[in-house]
This record gives sequence, C-alpha cells and structure tokens, in this order.
Amino acid sequence: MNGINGVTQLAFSDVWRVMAPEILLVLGGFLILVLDLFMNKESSRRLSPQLGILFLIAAFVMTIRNFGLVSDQTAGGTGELLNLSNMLYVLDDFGNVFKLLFTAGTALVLLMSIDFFKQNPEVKVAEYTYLMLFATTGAMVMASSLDLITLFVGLELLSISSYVLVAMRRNHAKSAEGGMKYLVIGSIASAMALYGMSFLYGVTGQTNLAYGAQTVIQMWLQFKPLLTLAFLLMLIGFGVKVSLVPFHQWSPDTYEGAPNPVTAFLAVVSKAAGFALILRTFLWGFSGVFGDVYIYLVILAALTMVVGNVAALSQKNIKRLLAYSSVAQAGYLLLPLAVLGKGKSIDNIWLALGQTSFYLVAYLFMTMGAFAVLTVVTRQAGNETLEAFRGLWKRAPFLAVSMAVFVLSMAGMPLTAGFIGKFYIFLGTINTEMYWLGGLLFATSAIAFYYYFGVLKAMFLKDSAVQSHDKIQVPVSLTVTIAIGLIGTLALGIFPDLLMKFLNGLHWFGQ
Amino acid sequence: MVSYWNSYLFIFLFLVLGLLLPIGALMVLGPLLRPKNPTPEKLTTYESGIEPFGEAHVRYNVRYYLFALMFVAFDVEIMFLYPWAVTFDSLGLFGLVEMLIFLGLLVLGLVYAWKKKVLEWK
Amino acid sequence: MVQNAWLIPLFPLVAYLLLFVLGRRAQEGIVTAISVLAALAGFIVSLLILSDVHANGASAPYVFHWLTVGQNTLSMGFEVTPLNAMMLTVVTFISTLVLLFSKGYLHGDARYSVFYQYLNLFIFSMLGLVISPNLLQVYIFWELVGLCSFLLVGFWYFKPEAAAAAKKAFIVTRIGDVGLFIGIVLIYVATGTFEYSGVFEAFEAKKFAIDWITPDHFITLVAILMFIGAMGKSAQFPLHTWLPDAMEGPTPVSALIHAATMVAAGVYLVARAFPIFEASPDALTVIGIIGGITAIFAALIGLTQNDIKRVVAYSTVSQLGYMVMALGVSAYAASTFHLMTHAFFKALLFLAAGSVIHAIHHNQDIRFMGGLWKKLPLTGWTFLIGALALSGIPPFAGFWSKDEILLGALKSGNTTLFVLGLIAAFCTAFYIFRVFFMTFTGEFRGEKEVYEHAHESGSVMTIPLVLLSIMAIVAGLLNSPLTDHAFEHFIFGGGEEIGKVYDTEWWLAGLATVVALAGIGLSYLMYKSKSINPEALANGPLRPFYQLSLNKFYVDELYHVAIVKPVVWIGHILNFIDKWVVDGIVHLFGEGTYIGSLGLKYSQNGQVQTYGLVTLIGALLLIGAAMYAVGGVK
Repeated sequence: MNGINGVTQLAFSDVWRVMAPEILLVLGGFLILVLDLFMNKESSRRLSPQLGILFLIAAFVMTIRNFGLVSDQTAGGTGELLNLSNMLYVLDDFGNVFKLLFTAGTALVLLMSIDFFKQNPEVKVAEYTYLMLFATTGAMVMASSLDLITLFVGLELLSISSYVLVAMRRNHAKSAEGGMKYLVIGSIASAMALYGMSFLYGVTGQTNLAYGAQTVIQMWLQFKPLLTLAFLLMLIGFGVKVSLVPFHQWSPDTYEGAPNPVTAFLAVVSKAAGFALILRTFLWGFSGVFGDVYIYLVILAALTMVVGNVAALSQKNIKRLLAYSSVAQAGYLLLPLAVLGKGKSIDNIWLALGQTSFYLVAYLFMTMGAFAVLTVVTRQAGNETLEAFRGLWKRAPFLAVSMAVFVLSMAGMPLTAGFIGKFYIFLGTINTEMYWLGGLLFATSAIAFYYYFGVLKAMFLKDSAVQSHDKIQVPVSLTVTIAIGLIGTLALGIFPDLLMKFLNGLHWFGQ
Repeated sequence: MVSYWNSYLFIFLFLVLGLLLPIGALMVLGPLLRPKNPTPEKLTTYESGIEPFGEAHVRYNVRYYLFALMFVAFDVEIMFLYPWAVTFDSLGLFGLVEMLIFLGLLVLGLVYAWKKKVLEWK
Repeated sequence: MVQNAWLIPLFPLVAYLLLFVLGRRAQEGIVTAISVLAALAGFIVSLLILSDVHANGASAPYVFHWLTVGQNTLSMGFEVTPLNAMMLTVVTFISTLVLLFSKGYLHGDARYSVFYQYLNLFIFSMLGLVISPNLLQVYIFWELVGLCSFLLVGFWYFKPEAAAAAKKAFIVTRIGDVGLFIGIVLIYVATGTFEYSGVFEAFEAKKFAIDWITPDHFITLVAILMFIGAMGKSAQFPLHTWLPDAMEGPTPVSALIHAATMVAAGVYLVARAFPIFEASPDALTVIGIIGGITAIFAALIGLTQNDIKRVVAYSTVSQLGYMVMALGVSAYAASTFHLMTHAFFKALLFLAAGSVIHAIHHNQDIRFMGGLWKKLPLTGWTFLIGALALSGIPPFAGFWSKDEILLGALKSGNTTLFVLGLIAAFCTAFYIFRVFFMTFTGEFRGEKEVYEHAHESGSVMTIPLVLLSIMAIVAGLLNSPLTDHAFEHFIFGGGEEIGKVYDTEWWLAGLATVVALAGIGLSYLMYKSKSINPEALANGPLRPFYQLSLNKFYVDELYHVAIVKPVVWIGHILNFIDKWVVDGIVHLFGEGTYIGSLGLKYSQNGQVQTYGLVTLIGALLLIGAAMYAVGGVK
C-alpha cells in the first residue's frame, strides 16, 4: 500500500471498507445542511431528525457489516489490521463496538428530540440534527484512529458540536450558561490534552500510537518524568470530557442547562467517546509501561466514585442528580482499565474491554430511558426537582415503573443490566486482586442506593404534589425510547450472556 | 541520546537567531549607525500626518472575527493544496477525487456562510 | 416431579404480573382469587415434590449456563433438597392462608391491589431464595425479599412511624447484607464458584486460592461474615432492633414475612450452608452465643411490652434466637424442625392478634383490651393454642421442637446456653399468657362502644386461623418419639446425619414443661386472679429491671448515642470543613484570581473560573505528586 516518498496510496475500496459508517454520517450531515440552506425559510424542517435517524441506522448496519470484515481479516492471518495510511485509521472490533454504541445512542437521542422540537419551536431543527451527526462522526474518529492528530481532530469535532448543542435554546439563560461553561472548561481540557500529546510526540518523534508505543517502551527509563507528564496531561484532558473528579465541575451545570436530549447525548455518547479515546490512547500508546502509570487511573477512579456519589446525595434537582450519578458512573467505567496495570496478562485486557463495553451498553439503555421519562415528568410538573416525581405511581404507573427500573439499574439492583455491569466490573477488580477498589465500588454503590431511593420514595410512597389528575400524555417517540430502554435494561439484566458472549468473541484490536 | 538532542539543536539555533537578529539590528547596530535628530513630527505615532485618537484598546465589530475565521479556513486550505500539488503525479486519480471532496466541503462552508449572511456587512 | 420445582416461584410471579396488568383498581375478589389460587397451586406442587423427595431423596441441581467471566462460568437454576422441600411447603402453605386472611384484614383499603402485588412479589422472591442452588442467586433473592419487606412495612407510608420503620428495617438488614456479600465474594475468590456443591467440596478439602490467610482462619472469617448476613435478616442481637419496629406494617405482613418466612431466611441460610459453618468450631461457638443471647434478651424485653404485636414480635426474635443457638450447638435437625413448627404457630399468633386488632378498630395496646373471649371465641381459642404451642406445653408443636433444642444445648456441654434457654422458655410462657389474659379475660378497658361492636370476622379470616391451629397442634408430632422422629429421617434425606442428634430425655421434657407451666402460672396469678399486683412489682423493688425491659434495654437509644449521633456530628464537622475550610481555600484562590485579573472585574459569571481553577489545582496536584513519585522533581 505504501507509495513512493512516504506518501501512502489510497484506494476507494479501502476507504469504503474502513470508514463506511463515518462516510455515511458525514454525507447525511451535509445533505441535511444543504437542504436546510436551500429550503424555503418558511417550509418545515421537522422531518430532519427522522432523516438523521435513517443515516444513523445505515451507519449502524455498516458497522455490523464491519464486524464481518474484521473477522475475515483476522481469519486471513496476516496479523495486520485493516487500516488506512499506515495505521492512521484502523478498523477493529474495538472501534466497531463503540460505533454501534454511538449510532444507537445518537439515534435514540434524535428520537427523543422529535418531541423536544415540538415543545421548543424556536430551536433550529436541521442545524441541531446535523450537528448531532457531525458530533457522532467525531466520536467515531475518536474510537478508530491511531494517530494523535486525527484523534484530536475527532475530539474537537465532537466537543465543538456539543458546545453548540448545549446552547441551542438561545432564549434560555441556563442553556447559554451551560454551553459557555462547557466551552471554557472543555477548551482548557483540549489544551491540556494537546500539550500532553506534544510531549509524547517530543519523546517518541511520531504521532502514531501504533508505532509510538515501541518508542515509549525504549525511552521509558530515560524520559520517565516527561512521559508521565504526557500521560497525565492527556489523562486530565480526557478526564474533563468524561468528567472524572476533580475535573467534573462543569458537568452538573451543563447537564442542567442543556436540553434533555442533549444532556442524554453528553451523558452517553460523549462519555462513551471519551472512554474510547482513553482506552485507545493508553492501551496502545502506554501498554508497555502501563504498570508504571496505572496508579493515577486508580486514584482518579476512586476519587470519582466517592465524590460523584457523595455529591449526588444532596441534590434536589433531578438533572443535577443524574449528572452527579453520571460522574460516579465514569468512576466505575474507569475501573476495568485502571486495574489492568496490576494484572498484566493479555487476557485481562480483553476482559476489561468487555467490562467497559458491557457497562456502557447497560448505561446507554438506562440513561436514555431515564431521560425520556424525565422529559415527560418535568414538563408536566413544570419544574425539575424531585418534587415533580411525587406520586408518579398514581398518575402514570408505566412511567413510574420504567423510571424505577432505570434508577434501580443505575443503583445496581439485581435483575437489571446495571447490576450485571457493576458485578462484572467488580469481578474484574477481584480477579486482579484490587480488593479495596472492589470494596470501594461496593460501598459507593451502597451510597448510590440511598439517593436513588429518594427518587423511588418520591414516586411510590408520596402523594402527588401536582393537584391535576390529568393523564400524562406521553408522545409516541418518547414511549418508544422508554420501551427500548426498558427492554434493554431488563433483557441484559436477565440474560446478560446475550451480549457477554458476543463481547467475549470479539477481536478487539484485531488479535 | 546525543542524536536525539541534536534534532532539537536546530530549533534552539533558530530561536537564538530569531532573538538575536532583531535585538542586534534594532538595539545595537541601529543606534550606532543612524543619525539621532528627533523633531516633534518624527515622534508622532504616524508620520503620515494623521493624529491618533481614542484609546488603543477598542472593541472590534464581531463581524471581523467571522471574516477572520473564514480567512483562516481558506488560508489553511492552501497549505493543504500545496503539498498535494507537489505529489500530484504519484497520488493519481484517488488524490484528485479526494481533493475535490475536500474542496467541495470547504465550498459548502463558504455557501453556508453566504447563506447565513456572514459575507454581508450590515 | 422435582424437575418441575421451578413452577413454584413462577406461580406468584405470574400472579404478580397479572395483578400488575390489572392495575390498582382491580376488584378485591378477583385480586384475592388470583393470588390465593397461585399460592395454592404452589402449595400443591410443593406437596408433590415433598413426597417425591421423601421417596427418592435429594437430586442434583438443575442449572443453566448464565454468564461467563474469564475462565469461570456462572450458572443459574434451582435445586431440591429435603430442607428446601420442607421450606417450600411451609412457605406456600402459610402464604396461601395469609393471602386469604388479608382479604378480610385489608378490605376497603385504597391500595388493596398494590398490597397483593407486593405480597406476591415477596412470595416469589422468598421461594426463589429457597430453591437457589448457588450463593449468587441467594444473594439476589436475599436483596429482593429485603426490598419487598421494605415496601410492605412501609405500606401505610402516610404513618410516619411506618415510614421510619421501613427505612430502619432496610438499613439495619443492609448492614448484615454487607457482611453476607463480602462473605460470598471471598468464597468466590477462594473457590472460584458460587455453587453450594463446589463450595462445600472446597471447604472440606480446605483448598483455597488465597494466600493471605490460613485455611482455618479463612473458614472462620467467611462463616462469621455469612452469619452477619443471617443476623440482619433473622434479627439476631444486636441487629434485632428493626423487627419490632417493622410491626408498623399490616398484620398479615407481620405474620408472613416477619414471623414465618423472611426472618427465617437467615436461619435457612446457615442451615443450607451448614458444611461451611461445621468446618469452623469457633464460628459455631459465636453463633451459639449470639443465638442464646438473642433468645433470653428478647424474652426479657417481651415481659413488659404493651403492644400486642410487639410482644409477639419479641417472641419471634427470641424464637429465632433458639434456632440460631441450636445451629450453634450443631443441633441441625432440631433447628430446622423448630423453624417449621415456629412458622405455623407464630403465623397463627400473628393472625389471631390481627383478628383482635381488626375487631376493635386497630387498637394494639393490651392495656385497653380485656374480656374479648366472649366476643371473639374462635380467635380466643386459636390464640390460646398458639400460646400453648409457643410456651412449649405438650403435645403442642412448640414443645417437641423446643425440647430438642434444649436437649441439643445440654448434650453439647454448653450448660450456660441450656440455662439461658430454660429461663427464656419461662419468660416466653409468662409474657404470651400475660397477653392472653389481658386480652381475653377480665373486663374490657377500652371504649364501651368499641366493645359492643366487636365481633368475629368472616370466614376468610377464621379459616386460616383454624387451619393454622391444627398445624400448631399436630406439626410437632412429626419429630416426636411417637412417630419415630420421622422429620429427622426426612431432613437428612436418608443419608448420613447432619450435625448431632440425641435420644429424647424424658426428664428434660418434663423439666421444660414444668418451667413453662410455672411461667403460665405466674402470669395467671398476676393478670387473671390478680393475687400478685404487677403494678406494685413494677414500681417496687423491681423497678430498675422493669424500666430496663420496658425500654428494650435502651438498645435503640444506645445506637442513637453511639452511632447515629457521632455520624451526624461527623456530618456537621464535614459540613463545617466544607463550608469554611474548603470554600475558604477556594475563595482564597478565587480572590487571588479576582484581584489579579482586573479585566474580569465585571464578569457576571464567577463560577466557571472556580471550575477552571479547581481543574487546574487538581491537575497540578496530580502532576506534582506524580513528578515527586517518579523522581522528576527532587
């Protein structure tokens, strides 16, 4: 594939093989953009989310096809990943799993948005939709590139789109505030990550993680402080994105200010993308020296679990509560990677990736569902406090039970996906003999039970604060979202092997 | 180790040169060589005769930034075009199509700005 | 038949789902019919399984592959052993009756259907717990029953006491659950499996994949941790405080959950996992002591309580103490036998108490009862039977089982435990007959009008009473010399003996009977014939003891002072630190930035700077620590 003078020759078929989902999403985004530009000002653009969902589904299907490509490639036995431009962009099951997550997550977000547009006519529908698609493309790049520069471009594509999405309700002070805060803190994060990358480049002389990893091992003894600094700066930069403590402070404000679907997007897709980036960068770039740096991940994971859960205790606003809970979840999600430093066997890497992915899928279902319920309930009550949920059981049993399932799943109640996810991560800490981390996971989950309990109590044990006994109208799009969340949460909770078997059989990094 | 640092030596040299040249030219050689004969006219900010007014820190219209952004985008585009043009022969048809896609996306950005009335000054 | 055991928990689950679909406005009759039929079906299947097990003995667990974790596979499924076949039968039998009884008791409640939903969910979870073949599944159902208990105790959530009691029950049992959880995890770490069979093999061989502790110590550690879980669920001292408070729930709930089934789960767990405990004499000693203390402690508190349900609740705690004590002295058969008989007569006592409470408009204070025998003859008779069974008067059920426990304690050489048990038996007989005399004899001490209207409830409430009375009379005979200890042979499954079994000592049986009769006699003198004035005793020389018992030995107060208060104080201190120190530091930095950056003087949004600052401080701390660690900075 290599051409002369270090210039790599590409072929259309290669690009299509490796990047089909990304290409589809970009095409979809630009199609909506062009339509939006050239359509009459007055004509309705309300079908754009549906169009966006169509493209996401197409990308989803393409990703599923890609699993086949990867297993064909590994069966071929060349030992080389399907890649573009000398490992600049790769196709492996790690990226595929995350792409499935991103496309499914964004599709659900757009589904929820249909109702959001009806309630907020001032929001520009088409703009919103293509920003979502571009953001998702950015997330995909973060999951599939092996080059620091391309990774960074993906990160920025996702981030900048997200900043705008958060501030989409222009007349809404909190929305603008949230967007502003996210922008400022996000920029600090990007700068830090970039600074860290520059150190990595400085020491290894290349931006490619696949080749850089070897140099990192060679240079480790000489440049330990410098490389550690690079690692930490990148960790901090990415840590802001996935809201690890103490880099989490933007998230409650931003989550609160953002429109509900965008909050769900940030909580699920953006966070998953951040983890894809973290796993990609550290497992490739630093895999050789992971035993020396994992302790910082452990520290941050522990801090995040504790602070996220403790801070959530005193929250009265349900969106802030979910924000802190999502901070806490970031801590759980970091655990499988963090404990890898101790157990060095390669088997543990695939196990850790399986744990993270499983939890992310579970998290996708429960978070999407919770936000859909939240949207309906807070709108009817006119506020976003826990009070809005009082007596929900009487007013809308279906909503109350669904919310109960989602909340219990987040808390880690057996028979729900969240339990299996946590349990799986927990076993990971046990397998690597990091008992105290497992204990911390368990203890913080116990705290979590307490505040999730507040939601349950409000729904089931209290009388409604809302006097009206009107039936709550649930729009079809939200009903579908809730149903998908419910089915996913329960199915994975009762038959986890459905997903687990699939994850266990993957060629994560094309091994 | 030595060869590693050597690659940074050039950067260091450039840095030193970059600092030395203006200092040497403006602060050392200049005062030595030039005649010193200040008149009130020579001491004004602009010798062209326009009196400066207001403060140096003024607010620019936000549209300047939009123009600046547009400019940067197309400026950088040239940076991409140049190496592409140099290796055009070896890149073949694929390179051509790829660059067309790239330009197409950029043009779309221009169209976007146009449609959003960024280019109109009002 | 055994392979169909999974049907048993399925019935209540289906009932639960049906009721859920029908919604909260479903007719009471339909709701009851569905629930009772489901429970009855479960009971019939249980009986069939019981006879199958009786004929063929235990079978291997039926499991399916559930999920794979690394090299280990976890499975889910069910198993049938003599022990759990007995449990299944008892649980389904009592469930059926309680569901029937609730029709009368909850009649007219706005959340009637919800109550039945919760009850069915509970029954499902309890049955699931009983047939679990592995510890992981046990833990899952263990939490589920806890959740149902919480929901049912707090069923009348508008009563603040009920809400508080529900919370207390949940939190206190969770303390135990943490112990159980850690125990189970340690077992998994050490043996790589959750299955009972695999775990037992590993414990027998004393081969563990753990090197930081010797095998013997490990066994003791795990046994104690699991027992802590059992202590929480089975309300053993000092985690017993939630059970009396849980009486705020509706009485059928108390009968089903807090007498017959869930609270017995702790005892069941220890019995099911007995090989683990048997491997550690130290753990058994601890268990025996805790059981003995609980038995006597709760019995002493029961002496002075005035709430009819609380007295019965303390007697439950006390009887659970007996069972645990029996396990502690390896009297496995005696313990499980008492578990069964106790389920019958305690459910009976609760339901009879419920019938009384129902008849006099939900008053529970025995000081305002009296003379109800004339109004409620059937309830009176059944309560009497229950009381006799509880006291251990032959030939009622409690006599046979309690006698065996005392026998076990004596023969094991633990004379102290034996004496404690004997004293507790005396107290038990005394307080339950105190309740009986104060409730059913003498003059009514409440409002006249209530007394006039008091009448026996309908057949839905009396039939369960009668059926339970019959069981309370005859169940004991199952393990008497008269039937050649049929129960023992059954529970050992025709195999070798588990724990220790002794021949009946007739002198001991006589002694126990005499002690119980003495208790009843004293009670008669004080509350029926009034030859001894209880008031004078309470205010006279025995006053300190009376106060101690009346105030439940101040355990709640002790917890409040020793645990709740400090925690609240730590909270206050942390809050103070947070408010003044942390915020102060942040402000200090904030002020610094503020003064340093005059350009941002009029910035409206001060917070985002703080966020950025915290991010930076965090980053600097992390980097600083790292640089120090790797030696980059000297």
